[in-house]
Amino acid sequence: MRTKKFKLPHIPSGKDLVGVLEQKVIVVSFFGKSPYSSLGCKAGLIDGFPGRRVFHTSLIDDPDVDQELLCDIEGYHDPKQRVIYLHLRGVFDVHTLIKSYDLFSKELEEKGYLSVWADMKYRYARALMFLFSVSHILLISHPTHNFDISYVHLFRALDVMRQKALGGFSELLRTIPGLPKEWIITCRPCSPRVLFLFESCPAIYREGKIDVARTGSGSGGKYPSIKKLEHALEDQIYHILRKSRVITNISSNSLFAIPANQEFVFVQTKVDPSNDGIAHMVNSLVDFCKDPNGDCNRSNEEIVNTFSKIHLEVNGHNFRSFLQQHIDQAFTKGFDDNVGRHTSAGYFEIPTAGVWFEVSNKAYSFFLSSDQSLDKDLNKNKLQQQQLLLSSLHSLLDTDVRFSEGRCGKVLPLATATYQENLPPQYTRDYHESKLAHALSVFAVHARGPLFDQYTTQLEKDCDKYWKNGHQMCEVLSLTGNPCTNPLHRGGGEGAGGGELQGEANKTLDDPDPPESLDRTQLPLKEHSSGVRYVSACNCGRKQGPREDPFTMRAANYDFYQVLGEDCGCNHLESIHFPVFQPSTQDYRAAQLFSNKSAAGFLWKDGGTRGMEGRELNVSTPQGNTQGFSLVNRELCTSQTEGTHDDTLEITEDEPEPRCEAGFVSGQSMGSDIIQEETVSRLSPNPPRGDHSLPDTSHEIIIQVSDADSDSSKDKSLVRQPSTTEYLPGMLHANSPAGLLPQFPSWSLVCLGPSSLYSHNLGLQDQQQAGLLGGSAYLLPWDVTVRLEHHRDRGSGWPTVGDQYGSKGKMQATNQHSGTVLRGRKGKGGNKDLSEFVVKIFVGVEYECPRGHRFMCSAPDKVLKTTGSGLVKDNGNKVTSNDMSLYFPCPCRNAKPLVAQLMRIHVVTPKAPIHVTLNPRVQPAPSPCPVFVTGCEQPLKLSQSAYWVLRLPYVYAGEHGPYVAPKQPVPLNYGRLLAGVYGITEVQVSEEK
Amino acid sequence: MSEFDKVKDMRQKKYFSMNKDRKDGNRRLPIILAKPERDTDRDKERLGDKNMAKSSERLQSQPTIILRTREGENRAVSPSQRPATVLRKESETQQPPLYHLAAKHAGGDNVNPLALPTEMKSSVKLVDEAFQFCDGALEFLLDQNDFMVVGCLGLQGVGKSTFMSLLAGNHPDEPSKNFYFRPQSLEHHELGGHCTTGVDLLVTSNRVILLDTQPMLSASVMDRLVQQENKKFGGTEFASTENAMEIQSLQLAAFLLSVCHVVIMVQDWFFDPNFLRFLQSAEMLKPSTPTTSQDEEIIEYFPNVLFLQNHATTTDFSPSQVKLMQSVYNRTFLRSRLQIQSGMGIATGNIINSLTPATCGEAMNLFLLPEIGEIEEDGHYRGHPGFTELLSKLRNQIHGVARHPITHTILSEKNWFHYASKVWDGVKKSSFFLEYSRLLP
Ligand SMILES: [Zn+2]
Ligand SMILES: [Zn+2]
Ligand SMILES: [Zn+2]
Repeated sequence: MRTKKFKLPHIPSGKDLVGVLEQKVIVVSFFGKSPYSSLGCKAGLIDGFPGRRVFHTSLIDDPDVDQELLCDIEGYHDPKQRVIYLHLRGVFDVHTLIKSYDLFSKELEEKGYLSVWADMKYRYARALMFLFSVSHILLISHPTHNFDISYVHLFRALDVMRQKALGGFSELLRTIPGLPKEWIITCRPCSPRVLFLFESCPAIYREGKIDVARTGSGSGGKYPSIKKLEHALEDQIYHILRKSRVITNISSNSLFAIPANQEFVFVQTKVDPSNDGIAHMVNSLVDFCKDPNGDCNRSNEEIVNTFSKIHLEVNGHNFRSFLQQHIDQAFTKGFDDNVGRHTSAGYFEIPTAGVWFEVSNKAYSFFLSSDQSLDKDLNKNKLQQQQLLLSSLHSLLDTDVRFSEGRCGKVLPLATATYQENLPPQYTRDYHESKLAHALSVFAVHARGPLFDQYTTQLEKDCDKYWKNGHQMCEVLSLTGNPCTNPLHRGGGEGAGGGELQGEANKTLDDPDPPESLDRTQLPLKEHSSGVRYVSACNCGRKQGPREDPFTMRAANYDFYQVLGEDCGCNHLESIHFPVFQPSTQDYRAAQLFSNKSAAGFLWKDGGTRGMEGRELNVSTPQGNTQGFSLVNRELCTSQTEGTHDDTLEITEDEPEPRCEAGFVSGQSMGSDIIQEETVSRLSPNPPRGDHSLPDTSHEIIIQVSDADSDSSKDKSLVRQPSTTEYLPGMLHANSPAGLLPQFPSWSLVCLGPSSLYSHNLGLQDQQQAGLLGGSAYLLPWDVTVRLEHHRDRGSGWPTVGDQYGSKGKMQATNQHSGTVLRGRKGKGGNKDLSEFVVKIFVGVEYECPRGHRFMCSAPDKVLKTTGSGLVKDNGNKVTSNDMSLYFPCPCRNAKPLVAQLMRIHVVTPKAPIHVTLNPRVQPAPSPCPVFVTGCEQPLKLSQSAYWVLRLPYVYAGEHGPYVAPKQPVPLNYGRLLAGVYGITEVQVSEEK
Repeated sequence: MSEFDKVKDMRQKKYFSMNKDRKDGNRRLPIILAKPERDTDRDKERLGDKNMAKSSERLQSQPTIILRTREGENRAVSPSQRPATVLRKESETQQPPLYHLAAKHAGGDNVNPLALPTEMKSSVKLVDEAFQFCDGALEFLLDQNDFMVVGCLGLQGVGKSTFMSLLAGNHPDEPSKNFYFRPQSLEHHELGGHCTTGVDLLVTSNRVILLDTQPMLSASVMDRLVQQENKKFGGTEFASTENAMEIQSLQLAAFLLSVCHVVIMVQDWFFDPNFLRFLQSAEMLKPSTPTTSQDEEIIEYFPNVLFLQNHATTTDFSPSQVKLMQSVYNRTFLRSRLQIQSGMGIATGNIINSLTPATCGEAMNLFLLPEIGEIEEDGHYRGHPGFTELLSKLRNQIHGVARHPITHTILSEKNWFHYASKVWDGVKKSSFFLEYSRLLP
């Protein structure tokens, strides 16, 4: 009659157990901690009882457990002994625990070990609740020889739960027919006895190995008694369990009892060689090789069953007899572990195996089953009760997480209050984040444990929610780079990008599952306002007025000037109009320049900050857009001019030496169809050497004048007709797509009146030009020698280099008004229709700071300043022949100067048969920032003997967004008005008429 | 505006480092300033330790003081010159440590700070049985900054005191009555008792301060608590004896985690999951390092932690087993901020040829020691080079580990002592432990 190992829950099948089920049985359960090396088996000491191993059958076992319970209860019915052995394998067994790590790897990473271990321990505790409900004797196995006091808390938790479970479990037991009433009430066959098994002993007690202990004083003699240790442990355990009220005088009130007058501690003094598997196997082999006959007197079985053999030895100290006395007592008297005589013995039942299996299956489903279908007797209500029970068990064992919860929960409101302290009604993201950081640091100091992250997230969420609930600022950037300070609102345009609404939109794009956000459609419709105010002058410069920080290009570059211009009256002055979009239909729209919206958005944002990097640019003109070539000498220049251009005047510096270093910049925009090179006559700017300064001496400049309207150029310019249904969303620049025009002009060119308005003696008076800084209110005289030459005359050759045209003396002879000095040219090489004269032009390159300070520059790096006697020593050569910085620190403040921007070009034209032309091109930031242009196909021709003012754009914006003016001074070549602004054309005969 | 930015920056820094800690479980970076590790120093140290092994007999020569001229060096005093020589940094004399407790010098007597303290024959109490901080150790401490503190935690009977004595320089063959830290005697064994109570301190001549503690979660200690029921103990306000036991242990552990450069967790089997839980609870309850700075900088100190597997078997020394242990500890301490990868360990590749990062995975602070005095049977396989060699290698590793500053100021030995006293006070007064004890089942 051999029974097999079974696994709970187990329903015995009748045929192989005939008679066995009627047998009365005692149930002995094993549980406890075990090291990895024992592979979770703690029943080794009883494994030999039936004469063969049942639980631990192989040295290379790798048992698995239920993945949900992380437990496995094996059983074995020994009919001879009339004992059912149960063996719990679970997370207290390191082997099982490590296997469970794989199931919990995510939790270990996210919640940490404290939380995971509590969860695992809870599952183990459920199995223990089961064992304590169905066993007579429980053996706690422990790898060392010290009582593990962590069991005290575990037992207390189990006891609390046992009391709570009584009602539910007893109801379940009632469904078993014929179960004794008292069993139903007490929910267990008896108050179980707990025995302690310590699997190792101090080295001095160890048997089976040569005595290796350092016996120290040696007082113990050769064979110190293990009994002494066992009894000491018994005393210790008894004291501790009594003191912590795990055991009491009345055993039926306790989770378990320990016998008062019987041994309940067993310390193993033999070494299990299989605990050190490798050494055991290798060294057995080594020994065998050394002495193959050494083992010959051992039977095969003994060799296989080395372990069992040890424990079958009859010896004064053996586990079998230790356990057997308890089993025997159970069968004879039952357990009466009450203390004191006044109480009657507790209930003690020895069930038949059949009844026990029935009870154990009920108990299993009650304590261990999470599967509802397993037991039909559990209705919904009961199931809820069970869940409640289990969750309170979990919480009892979850000390660390609960501590963390308490801590974090206590600190969270504190941290939230820290955040909300002294908050303004609306505040920026930066401020929000700094306050949140402060709150988080307060939180971090006092919060603790596994829930720290969870609560941190909660704190962040709470603060974020508070901020977004009416305390958020719009923060859309103005075109000058200031955030809108209104409470979050809709409308008002994109400004220079940014802002909370857009930020949220971006987040939504990135995050497939955005956090609940407030309904944005409920936000008020409102214009942006940064609260910042600037002072700007009107188009003509005569009147100044305050202006709101602009959020639209129209407000920045057009509307403000229209309004102020009405006030000033300069709207009605003679002016030159710039090309703008003329709609032909009602449903015109902005041209779609980008197929990828998000890319545009990104670039738009980028445009705002790009400038701060201040990249060095070594070339004064963008290589990509304009073609520059230097002339080595005149011959070369001539041949080129002849080869490519008709009627082109060449400008060179008049140098005494024949080698001419003057550059010739064609100004041709390679990528653009708008600027037609041949219609332009240019003033040759500086040599492209990288430094903007010319020799300080004042030089005369020779200008060749061409017939501007040659046939070929006219043909070209006729090619394009601008669209009348789509307008250009940004501003016109050299790379703008052809055929698109902006809705409004960003530039203005007005004529203040006759040239006599300007007196170089007096300078500009405050009533003429408002807000000019003292000493800077002058224009710069600029003498230009003009030689008119018609192309048909050129065949006979150019004048020699050595010609000394207008000398300084002659220049000084001209009066202080713009005028010309005409003089005959010494004929050289025949009667040519040559005329040569010097014209005096007055120019002013004017900057305006955010506070409305205005000043002129006399050089790319110098503010115009009169001498002490009020004289202007500079002339216009430098400002006309060099790139001029778009941004210049305003002299109004020395520390942290404000950045002034080049806003106007003043030109007083001479009375001469020529037109001064303007062709302003601005690159407001380093490449790849485009070069902004007016959109006129030809340089702007200024009327003679008049005072003209060109007002430049306030804000530059391409398709990618605005190039926001820097707030701090930047390198002078950061943004530039490119050289080549000024030119001269001959007055056409037709015009003169 | 600029102020917001500052705060924001600070927060980001702080926050990022926290995030980093969280995500990257393998590299635990504390929010503290770490002294740059100097390899050269470590090499010297190794060399020095070899010398020490040779000269295990105590030298009693005339004390000499060598002023070190190299600046910015920080290492343990070369053990080859022990015990008569103290190396001092020149810079120290110019820049005395700014620690505010420095004024409270030993007993007020104006001893030469360079004078050698009495050599310690055995440990003295730092924390006594009644959980009071003791001043006795102060006379053995110097006013110099080049020292390290090594503490030890473990359950009852795992061999803490024996190991600490051996670490201090006792030879395994010496009779245990000569040990610096008294290990369990037979009487202790027979009574299932413990030996160490509170915290014992020993300063070695190469300026390593060793702290041995009473066993954690010990039944023996608890039994004594029960027996002395009516005596007032440090932790008896914690509702019940078993809670008091748990809390006392947590307090000691939290204390050690706050004042040691290296804390050695000794276990004699692999492994008690509750002990690892206990360790992390202590980490959680450890009060914030007391700091005098008023800013909001969170100075949290986390020491190097070394797991020492005592009584390791031949099987334990196999690469697959070491790999398993390392992986278990790594996963268990994924969310912990204790430093468990600091270059110490059995599998660094420098200890046993077969145990390398290649065979066992990235090395962590896990070391194995076999049974002391294990008899070497002829031809039998052990899997390790023997106890003595392993111990000496472990000692070198511990001495060579990068020491993170315990506080934001540089401490001298004596400053450390006062700091430890303050920490102990903070631990005892912390409400965390009371809160925790209320939640125990
Ligand atoms: Zn707004
Ligand atoms: Zn005006
Ligand atoms: Zn200004």
